[in-house]
Amino acid sequence: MVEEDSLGRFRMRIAGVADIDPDAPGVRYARSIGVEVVTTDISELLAIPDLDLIIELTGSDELRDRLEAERPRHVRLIDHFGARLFWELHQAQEAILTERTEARERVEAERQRIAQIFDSIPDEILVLDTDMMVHHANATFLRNNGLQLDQICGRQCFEVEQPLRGECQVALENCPCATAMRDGKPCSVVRKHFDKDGELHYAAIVAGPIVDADGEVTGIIEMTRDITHRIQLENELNATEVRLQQFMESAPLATYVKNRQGQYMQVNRATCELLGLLRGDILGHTDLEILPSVAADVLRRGDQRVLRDARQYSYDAELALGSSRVFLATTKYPVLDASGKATAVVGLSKDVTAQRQAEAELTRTREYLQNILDNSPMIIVTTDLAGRVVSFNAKAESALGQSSDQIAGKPVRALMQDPLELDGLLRRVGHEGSVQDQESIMLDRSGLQIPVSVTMSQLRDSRGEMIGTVLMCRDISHRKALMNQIIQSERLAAVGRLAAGVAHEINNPLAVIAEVAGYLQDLCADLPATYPEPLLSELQDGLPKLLAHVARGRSITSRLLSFARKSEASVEVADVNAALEEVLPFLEKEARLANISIHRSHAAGLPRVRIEELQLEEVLINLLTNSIQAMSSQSHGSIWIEPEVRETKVIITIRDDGPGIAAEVRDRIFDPFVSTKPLGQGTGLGLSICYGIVKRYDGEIRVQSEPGQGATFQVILPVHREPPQGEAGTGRST
Amino acid sequence: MGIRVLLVDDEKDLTAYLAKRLAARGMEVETASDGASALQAVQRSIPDVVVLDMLMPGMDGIQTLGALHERHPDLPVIILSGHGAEEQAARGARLGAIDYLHKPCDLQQLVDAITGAVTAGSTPASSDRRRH
Repeated sequence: MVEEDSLGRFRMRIAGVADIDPDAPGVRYARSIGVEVVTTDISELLAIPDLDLIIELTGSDELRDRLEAERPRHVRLIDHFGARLFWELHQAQEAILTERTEARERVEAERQRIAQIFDSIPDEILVLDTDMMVHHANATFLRNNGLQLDQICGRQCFEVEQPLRGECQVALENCPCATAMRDGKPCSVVRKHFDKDGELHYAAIVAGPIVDADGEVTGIIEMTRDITHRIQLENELNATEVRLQQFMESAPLATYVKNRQGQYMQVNRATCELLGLLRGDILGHTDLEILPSVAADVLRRGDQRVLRDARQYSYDAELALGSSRVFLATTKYPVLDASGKATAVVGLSKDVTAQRQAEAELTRTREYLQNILDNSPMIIVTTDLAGRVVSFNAKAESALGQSSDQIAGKPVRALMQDPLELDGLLRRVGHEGSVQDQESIMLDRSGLQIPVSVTMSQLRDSRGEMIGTVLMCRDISHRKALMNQIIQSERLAAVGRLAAGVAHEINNPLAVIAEVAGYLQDLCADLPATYPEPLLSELQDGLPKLLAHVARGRSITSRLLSFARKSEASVEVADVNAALEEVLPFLEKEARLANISIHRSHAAGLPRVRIEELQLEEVLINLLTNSIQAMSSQSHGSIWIEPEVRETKVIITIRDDGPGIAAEVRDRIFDPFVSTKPLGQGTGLGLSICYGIVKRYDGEIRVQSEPGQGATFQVILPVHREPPQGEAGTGRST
Repeated sequence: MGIRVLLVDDEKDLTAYLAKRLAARGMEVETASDGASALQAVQRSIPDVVVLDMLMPGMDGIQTLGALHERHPDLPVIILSGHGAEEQAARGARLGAIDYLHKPCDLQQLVDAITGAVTAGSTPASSDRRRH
């Protein structure tokens, strides 16, 4: 009692405490709180001035009686019984008070909790009474709108809302609060407004009636949630979905989705066009239902593989769809659920028919061009800018003995006999654009020289950039051989023309010689035998000789002129033995004079040769005369004539045991004006004329000789192929 | 015989000696070394036979022959030609030459040709046309 200062309430103060035991807790406490009188003697207590009351707590009746007896009249006494009563009443009172306080505190705490919850709700909450006056607002509302509670309490809700959100919807009869109040149940709307910064906001408003225990509406609670973000997201999602739809729809690839059963769930326009069907006819159906079975089978297998492996699968296929065949490049991939199982197949298919056709066309064109290259009789080589071989056609391979694999990438100058010359040509091509018909020499694999005529040009790509060089080379070996033959023929023709001139020139002095000599002869015939003897016999000896030489000159010129005369190219036929028969008697006289014996082997069954008879005789006369003359300084000599046949040729060998021919002369012996005879004897035209004649008939003259070992000439002529009945002679043999 | 012969050839030595040889056989020979002087000589006195070289510089044999026959169509002309001038010889023959011989020619052949030309106007030498 003391401790709790419970008497303070009654405006009483404890003036003193007495106890037998001075160390009783109460006594100690009293001392500690400064009670004035603390004693063990009661009479001290009684002596306290202004004492109003004594409370006896000892429980001792004796003490009570003493106190009763000794107390001053004005001092009241409560004995222990009364104190006890008093105390219990007090306690009860206290208990009730405490309970009430606690209850009030609980209620208060509860209230505060509820207020906290109310304020921490992230939505804006307004509490209105039935007159639409703002009764309360939560912290979120106040904070969001920068308001204080006392600014808005007691104001009409639209007064408050309007500045914040623009027009209130009461005027539109759309106010959720009004509706909630009217209907007695919650009402929700979505409202759109612009805030003070002009930004668009969406709000979801739920208005609910506050209903008391009797079911009467006592107010409205309006909750506003800003759903701008959500609306934006939804809009974005919608937009994205629309975009995706548009994307899928407008994709040039056929895009489609099928479920596990193979039914089309989604198809875009390109798919419809590809399949040649309407969207409605495709959706919900499987390939087997809407496509030819072969094509459907291919597609289904692709789907199944994707579903089974739960993995992407790409493939190309040629399908018969509709009325045509198409090439498709397809990629399919699975849509997987959370457990990794494929629930649908997405497919992307591209119609690559045109591409395939273009590729096939390209291949055909390439092959065609390659055929052109390979069928060309010219060697065609292309190089890159560094001069390395890029392509090498079939003719190049066969002419040069290299395969294109072997030569590719190697420098093209390795194919040329003179690489520096090629470098020069390549440079010219670079500057001038092309080089035409340059004669050059290529080398084949074994190093054999091949004369070619080269035409080179720049190789340009479609943009006009130079990317290399094209070399086109024509093998001119035959042409060169022909040219050489022509040159030789022309030389001979020139000689022929020269000869004609010479012949004419010679004729005049010859004529003179003839006349002078003739005249002298005439004089001699008339002279009397008395003319001085030596002179006469000299003249008689010399003059015939003069005439004989003239005759020889005549024969030279006539032969020369017949050589110069153009002969027809008609192929004639001659018999060698018959020609020899004609010629030998003519020469025998001269041979006998020079003491030379001619031996002739008679080859029986010798086939005829392709040469004019007279021309053959001319050749034989020339060769035999040469031999005879070569041995004229010998006392005697021999000539062997041996004709024989070897395969397609007849070879007439004329061999003598004369002085032979020195090497340097032998090499030039068929050139015109080459003669070993002393100046004035012979013009050196005989053998070159023979050479020309024989060459004209596709024959050959060969000579073998060593000084001191005679000379051997061989005339080789082609055998005349006797035609079967009625047919003309065939072409020349080489 | 006294046949009057005009030798026309640009080779003077030839005509000189030929003239001597023919003279030794009794002919009267005059010489000319080109077509122009030949025509002048004929102008002065008409010979019995003209022996004409075809290959002369300046006015050649054909022209001379033509000019001669223009004035003296009946004058026998024997033409001499070199080898290879057959075409000229043939032309000459068409132009009225009585005969032709190749140079160098045999004297007897020439004498025969001259006498033949004078006698009848026909030639015995046609078979020897290609002698050389």
